[in-house]
Amino acid sequence: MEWHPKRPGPTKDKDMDKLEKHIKDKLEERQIAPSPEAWEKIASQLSTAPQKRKRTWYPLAIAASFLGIVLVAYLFFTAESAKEMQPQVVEGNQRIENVEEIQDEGTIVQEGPIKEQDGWVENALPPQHKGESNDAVEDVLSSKERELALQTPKTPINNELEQPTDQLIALKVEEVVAQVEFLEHQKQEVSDAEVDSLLRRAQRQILTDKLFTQSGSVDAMSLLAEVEDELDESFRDQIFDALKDGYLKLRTAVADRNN
Amino acid sequence: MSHLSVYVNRNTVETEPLKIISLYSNETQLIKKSIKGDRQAQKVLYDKYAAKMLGVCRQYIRDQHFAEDVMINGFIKVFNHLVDFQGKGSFEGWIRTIMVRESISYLRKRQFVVYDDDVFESLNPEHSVTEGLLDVEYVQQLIDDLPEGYKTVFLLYAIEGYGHQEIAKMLDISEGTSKSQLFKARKMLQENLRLNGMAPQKTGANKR
Repeated sequence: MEWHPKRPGPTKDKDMDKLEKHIKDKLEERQIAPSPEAWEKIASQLSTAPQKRKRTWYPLAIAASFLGIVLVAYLFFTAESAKEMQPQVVEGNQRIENVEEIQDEGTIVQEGPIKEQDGWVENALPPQHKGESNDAVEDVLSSKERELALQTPKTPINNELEQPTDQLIALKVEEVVAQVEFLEHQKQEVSDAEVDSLLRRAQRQILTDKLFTQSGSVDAMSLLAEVEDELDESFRDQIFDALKDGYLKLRTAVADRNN
Repeated sequence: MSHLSVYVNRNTVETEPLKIISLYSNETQLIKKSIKGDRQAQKVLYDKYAAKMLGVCRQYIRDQHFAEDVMINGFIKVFNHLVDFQGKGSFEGWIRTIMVRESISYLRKRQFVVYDDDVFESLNPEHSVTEGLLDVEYVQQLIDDLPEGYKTVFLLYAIEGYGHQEIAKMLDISEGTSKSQLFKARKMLQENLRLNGMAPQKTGANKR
């Protein structure tokens, strides 16, 4: 079979493929021994190799440290912003704290010792302007004040509560005692339940008194406090306990006097 | 678990001199040691591949001395960049790629890569085939007789298995040029075979 290089068709391609495969096989299995000096040349070049290899690590180290810096910066800024976020997260609680104080002040204002605090309290508290007031709170409240606000949980309530409501409670207790005495005059005997209901009524009156300020407007904070169940309950209980204590004291005092 | 125990056993059973040999026979170990600058390990690797790689460089570079220089530079690159070889694929393939690229860059530097049809090396008619076989010397002669451009594209395509796109990128030519160079290289190979009185096997020798 004659071989025509210019013959078209698959045979030619097949031949060419075979030729190429043959060339490839032959060339790939070929080995040419290099001259003995070749390795010496390489070795002499490689004497500087350790440095070169070290140098290849520097870009990695630089890249790594750069990444580290970026990471630290990222963490730092996110932590910073997280700090800024915190007041918002705590905001709910904080408002409650403030509310508590305001409630107390609501009654204290008459005595007037906390005048200067009114400013920030007013700034801080309008709940309808949550967003703005947050900023305002941050502006006005130094972090120390904020910490104080957060650190003083319920103790101030007890202290301050007794002072403002004392007067009211004393008044109410006297009323209750008077009513009880009046009832005793009529019925000779007054049950504990009756005394309790009288005391409850007095308590409710105190609460409503607090709700409506002297100006006749509704004290928003008291209203809010009304809504805050947990707080409200303890507050009510406190008032009721104070009333009862006062009542019992007065009763014994009256009984002693009568005797 | 079984692999581990087998490995441990082999290591413990071997005697002291054998241990050293086995350490060096493990290519991964050799590479690790070479990275650390172990000259002995580098030499072992060099001895293993030098002849083969000189053969690769010789495909591209007709002058064996230049081919050896290219191989030396190639090995220096191999050892300097051993860290970059992280067991990806075969080590021999990696070295080979470096050698091929080193050869191409040598040709380019010397501006041997000329993609001109007119540049023709005169054929060496004295290379007559005696045994009628395409032995490696004759094959190399056929390749050497191709113009640099044809030769490079042909070797990259047929021997190294690169596609036209890769070749075009490596040689900084267009894909079309690569294709046409390959076509012309093949044509010339056939022509030269015919002129030398040789035809591809199976079709039979067709002496004229």
